[in-house]
Amino acid sequence: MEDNRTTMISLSLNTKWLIPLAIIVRLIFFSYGIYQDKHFKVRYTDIDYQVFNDAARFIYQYGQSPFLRDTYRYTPLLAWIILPNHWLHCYHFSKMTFIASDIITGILIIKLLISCQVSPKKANLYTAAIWLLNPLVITISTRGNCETLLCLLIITTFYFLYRGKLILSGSIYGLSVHFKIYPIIYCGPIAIYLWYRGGAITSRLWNIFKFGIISILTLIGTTYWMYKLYGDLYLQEAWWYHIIRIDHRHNFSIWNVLLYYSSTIPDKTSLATFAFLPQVLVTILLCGVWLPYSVLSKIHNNPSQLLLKLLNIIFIQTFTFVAFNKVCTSQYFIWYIILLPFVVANTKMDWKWEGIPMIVSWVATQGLWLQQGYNLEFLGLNVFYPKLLLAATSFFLANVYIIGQCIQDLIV
Amino acid sequence: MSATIKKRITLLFETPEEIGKNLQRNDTHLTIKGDHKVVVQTRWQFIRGEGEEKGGDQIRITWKHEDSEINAGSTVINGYINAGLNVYTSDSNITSLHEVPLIETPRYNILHSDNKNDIHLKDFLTTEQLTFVDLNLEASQYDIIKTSNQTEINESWILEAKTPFTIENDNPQILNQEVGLFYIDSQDEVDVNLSGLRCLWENTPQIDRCLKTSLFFKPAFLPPTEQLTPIYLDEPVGLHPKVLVDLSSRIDETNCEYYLFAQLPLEIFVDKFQTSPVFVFGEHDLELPEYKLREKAWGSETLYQLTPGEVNELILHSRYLNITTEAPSFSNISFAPTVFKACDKNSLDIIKNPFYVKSLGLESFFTDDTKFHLLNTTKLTVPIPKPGSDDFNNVQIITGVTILFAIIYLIWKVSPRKLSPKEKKE
Repeated sequence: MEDNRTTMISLSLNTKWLIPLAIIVRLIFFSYGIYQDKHFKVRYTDIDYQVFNDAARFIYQYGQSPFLRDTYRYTPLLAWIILPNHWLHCYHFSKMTFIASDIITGILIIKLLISCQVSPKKANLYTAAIWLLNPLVITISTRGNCETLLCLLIITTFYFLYRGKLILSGSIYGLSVHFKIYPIIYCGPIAIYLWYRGGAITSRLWNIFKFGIISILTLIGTTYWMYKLYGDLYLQEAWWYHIIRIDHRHNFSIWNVLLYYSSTIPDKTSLATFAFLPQVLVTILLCGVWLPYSVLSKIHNNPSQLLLKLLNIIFIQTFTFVAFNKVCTSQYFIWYIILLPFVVANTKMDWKWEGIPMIVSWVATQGLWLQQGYNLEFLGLNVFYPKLLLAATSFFLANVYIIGQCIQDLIV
Repeated sequence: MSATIKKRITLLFETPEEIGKNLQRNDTHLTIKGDHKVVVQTRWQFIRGEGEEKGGDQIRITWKHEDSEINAGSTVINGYINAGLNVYTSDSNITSLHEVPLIETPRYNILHSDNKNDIHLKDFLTTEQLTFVDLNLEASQYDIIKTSNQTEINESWILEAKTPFTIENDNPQILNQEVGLFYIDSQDEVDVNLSGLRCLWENTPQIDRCLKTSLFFKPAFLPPTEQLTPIYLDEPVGLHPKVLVDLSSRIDETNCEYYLFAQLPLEIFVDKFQTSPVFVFGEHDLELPEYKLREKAWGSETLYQLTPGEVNELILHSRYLNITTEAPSFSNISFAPTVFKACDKNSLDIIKNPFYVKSLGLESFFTDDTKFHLLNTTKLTVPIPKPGSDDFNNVQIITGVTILFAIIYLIWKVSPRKLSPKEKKE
């Protein structure tokens, strides 16, 4: 009790400057975004925010389906969240919602870090550097990208999971899968985590069952609710599209060039047909079952370490999912950046000889790809093969190298 | 029952002197040899049954070669025609022609072809009509209007200077033939006054009579002036071609608005949420490549409102293309946007004149009293890169080997193994 109070005092002392600063910086970016939208041809606001806003308008003005807006492929709940834009006749209002979720996520990261027995000072430092004051994260929320809402759901899931509030945690987890499908990959590590949290076997099984059934019921419940409201179009746009999606337009994915080539020859079976297999193998079996088993099974009676290792595993698993995915854009990076503070808190890596090469390889190969992407998109150069492919390959290999380093760091 | 056939030829000279100097006439023939380019419009009317039909569905077929001097044929005696083959039908039940799906609009359904498929103008004319009309797709533009009892074929072309052109009536099937040789006596934005000579053949090879003639009409389309409005692509073009229309020398006028109209091939599309066109009909999917949409539409038609006094910027997007069986290359995709000023005239006497009528097409999206000041039509070409199929195997091998290596590397990383001294120390 005493320890908890001390922790809370330390947290409030250290965050008394960090949180207000994070809010102020976001408000500056938010205000600048409004200015840029008004005065420059290139808009600051994310194109997807326009999609959300248009989708919400269909609901607000006509009581119609948000899926009448082309390219709206999200849960209708998101369009509902955007409705205040129309109630208040303020186009930018919902960015505030994203900013708020972004800040709350930062606070929860700090709390989770402290729960992992990271000192409040270090917890603030890591969170400030990686989340609260990270220009990439700030830009994403202030431009009106909805990824921060998903990040809040994910981090809240683990926050309540650690505190043993499994009904709440399972509900939020189910909602996060409803929101975007990919968090479903976390079910393996979470189940293994619940198993190794200790207690009698029946208690462990009950906890796993309870979390699982609540998650499934929330997922099915919200999805069925949306289906009843918006029909087949909802399933088509928000579910099937993402599952069968083949993005021909260039993106970071190692598969992209091959998928483009293969889609032009529909009758010919190519490697692209099996593009899902490596992702399933690496993300589900290797990082979703084997890695959590081999890491978490070695931790006994240490809830903080168990949580920290779980969040590290989730980071590696998400990183792997993004690297092996058939589509990869820069907004996907935030899916694992949110978990990076826990990797930094746990690492035994030497920054100079291991950390910096990892960062440099990630940034440099991404820069290489961006250069080819620019050549194709803005200069119209024919760089599909070999330049774009090799750039995507080098970025993929850099990602794999980083994943390998993180795995090694975790299991030694 | 064969049709009643009438023929009318109109020649538009620059000056009255040119007519007098270059016209040679005998009992049966007129021969013209101009000093300058002369605009020639030939009209055939094939009439079945009695009288002019009112109402009923209409088909309009137009043709203009995409490489023709697009503005050259635009004169006071021609209306507006889009480049390529266009088949408009007012019958909304017709949704495909020659197995090509039509684009549906509130005014008409339309097929557009720019020679990429096997649809030609002659496919829409009867054998009888083709015996009279010798199609010249390179040099002439055509405007054909078909109703249930009448087909009217208008052919326009340029008679080059010093080239002799002889007119006679040697076909007994033609009921009467009329030839007008005109020059523009006076012209302003409201009226055109043509003066000249009119000759008639009454179902015989002999010229019946030639009379001096003067006629007034109110044009619905005014051709571009010599000071054409610049339309160009921002360089470098890239995958998001930016069309720039320089209206900086134009001012805002009461009852007038500026527009850009374009028929876009399938390879180029509009994001209606990004640039807010007045309309876009046809294929406007924002993601799919060209080869996934071929069965659905030939492209799209779009209209943008422009702002006078500035350089207007319209961002379009190009689709990914099918790979080529040769080396990686580019497809040059062309389209010809038209910029015009549309003005309300509060008068319906511009719907029809002796040379053209407002019909299915761009004009049908505007009120009947709208007068169109054509400012420019420019062919724009967007090079879109496409990969070569020869590289397909290399792409597969590189991707496959990389993925395999990554899997093996990660399995090695997670597998239980002896720790190195350094790892043990840690």
